Amino acid sequence: MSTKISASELTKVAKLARLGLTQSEAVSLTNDIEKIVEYFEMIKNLDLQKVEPMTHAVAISLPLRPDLLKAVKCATEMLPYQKHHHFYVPPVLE
Amino acid sequence: MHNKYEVVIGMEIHAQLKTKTKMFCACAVSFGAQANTNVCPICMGLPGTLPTVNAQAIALAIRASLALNCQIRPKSTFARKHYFYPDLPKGYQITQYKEPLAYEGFIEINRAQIRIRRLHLEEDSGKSIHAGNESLVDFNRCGVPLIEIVTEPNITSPDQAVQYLHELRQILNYLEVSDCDMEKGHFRCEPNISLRPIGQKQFGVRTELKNLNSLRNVREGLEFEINRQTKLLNEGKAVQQETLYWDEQTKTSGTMRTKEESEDYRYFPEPDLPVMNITEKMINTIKSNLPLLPAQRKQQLIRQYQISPQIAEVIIETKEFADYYDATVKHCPNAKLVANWLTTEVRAVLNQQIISINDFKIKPQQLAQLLNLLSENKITGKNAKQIFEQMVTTNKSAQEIAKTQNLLSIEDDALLTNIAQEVIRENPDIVTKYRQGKTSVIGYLTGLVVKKSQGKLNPQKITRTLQQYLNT
Repeated sequence: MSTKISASELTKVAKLARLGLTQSEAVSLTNDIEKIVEYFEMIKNLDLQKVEPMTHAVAISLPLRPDLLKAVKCATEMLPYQKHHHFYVPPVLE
Repeated sequence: MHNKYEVVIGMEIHAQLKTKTKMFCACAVSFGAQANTNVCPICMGLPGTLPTVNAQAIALAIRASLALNCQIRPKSTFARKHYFYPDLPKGYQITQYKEPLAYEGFIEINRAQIRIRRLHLEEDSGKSIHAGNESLVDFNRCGVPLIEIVTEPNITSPDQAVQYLHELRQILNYLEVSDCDMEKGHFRCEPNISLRPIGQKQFGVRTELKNLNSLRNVREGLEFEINRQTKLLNEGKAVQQETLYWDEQTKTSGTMRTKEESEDYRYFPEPDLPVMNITEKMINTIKSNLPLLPAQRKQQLIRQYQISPQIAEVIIETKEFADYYDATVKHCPNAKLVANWLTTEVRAVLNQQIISINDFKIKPQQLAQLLNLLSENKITGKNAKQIFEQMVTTNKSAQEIAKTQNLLSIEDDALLTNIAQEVIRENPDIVTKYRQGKTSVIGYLTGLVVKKSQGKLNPQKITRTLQQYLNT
């Protein structure tokens, strides 16, 4: 019942997460992901007709905050890479 | 040119909610503030922080959902949408995906229904400025609350698309849900367009248009794209599924990304935010506080004050303008006169000064005083305009200007009789013309009397007096 993760699937997921993987990392990660997906396969085989779908393990309702302002510090004072009050990064557009 | 094909347009709108603070933290929502001054560890995505939802953002989104006739989900969830860009510091946007707040709504436009598929809450990204060999990032906008409103693909022309946007913007403005200033990016729209041969059920390949920051750009962009696709199809070529960027300068669209490069956002439920429960009680409270919407307000003006639909349309353009009208009518019962002045004289000043009614110097009560003078024939129409011009530039009241500059009409029947008889004596030729049937010359004679009285006699009364003399 084991699920195979292909090299191209792993490359795609790594690329989406912007991860550069070495060969040995790729091998061990493939292993890990296959094991994780196997758990889902197990769940798939259970009879869950009467179980309501859930998105959270903890059944608390959403805590809310009133729309009130709190003063904050200027961010550029906290971090080094700044120019004209903006952070700067390598060019985004080529 | 494109009558062989049916145009299919769907629309995605992002409207910025009118809250004081951001969606998930207590930083100020601002426009034009010094870069990176309204930010905190939460909206900058620093490790170890947790989002807390702004209750007012939910209330405004429910308000919009109700006005757009949507169903509201009792339990809805937030999700993470992942992509990498410097102005998105967390590496994901918190949005709603599988269970949006609201769904299945509609807006009616000229008896056609534009169906709304979903309405959900999300946060905005920061802003990047691309400058040579680096990009500069401002996080002030990061985390600002938005609602995204998605229609079904059932808009059938650029005209209808623009009408939909206009109506939607007006509704959100009346609800005070959003300022909807397109130039400030409060209201952004991304249409998708496809063509299909008339009668065909299956949709054609669609393209998406971005960077349309005015209603005019929307119309031009859609027309351009329809023509481009029509030409391709007529030549037997295929339309590529792609995202296009509208260039306002050249009035053409360019490719941003094609389907092959399209992103995989890896959505999953936001683990930091539990399920959002919307109770009947919340909905009912908001429902009972909904204001009159533009269409209802228009009907009310027509019914209550017998104003023409065309003029009513101009008055209801924005909520502020309609409120100004109501406030003026409270102090000046001549509702039609107020309507005429607001849509001509006042409108002209606003256009000239490029300001909104909120920044207009003359307040409703002051305008009402001027119009009361006019309505009660205490000043002439011409003098009213002169006084109005001075009110715009000075702080003086209508009464004050009329008095100090001697512009008040006088009720002096003896004076009127004297001048009228004088004018008749001095202009025998014109009097003859009048008596021979060319009655329109009465206007000329009236003008002479106005001039001789230095504008202080009421023109209507002058005409009536002259007619009495000339007809006997």
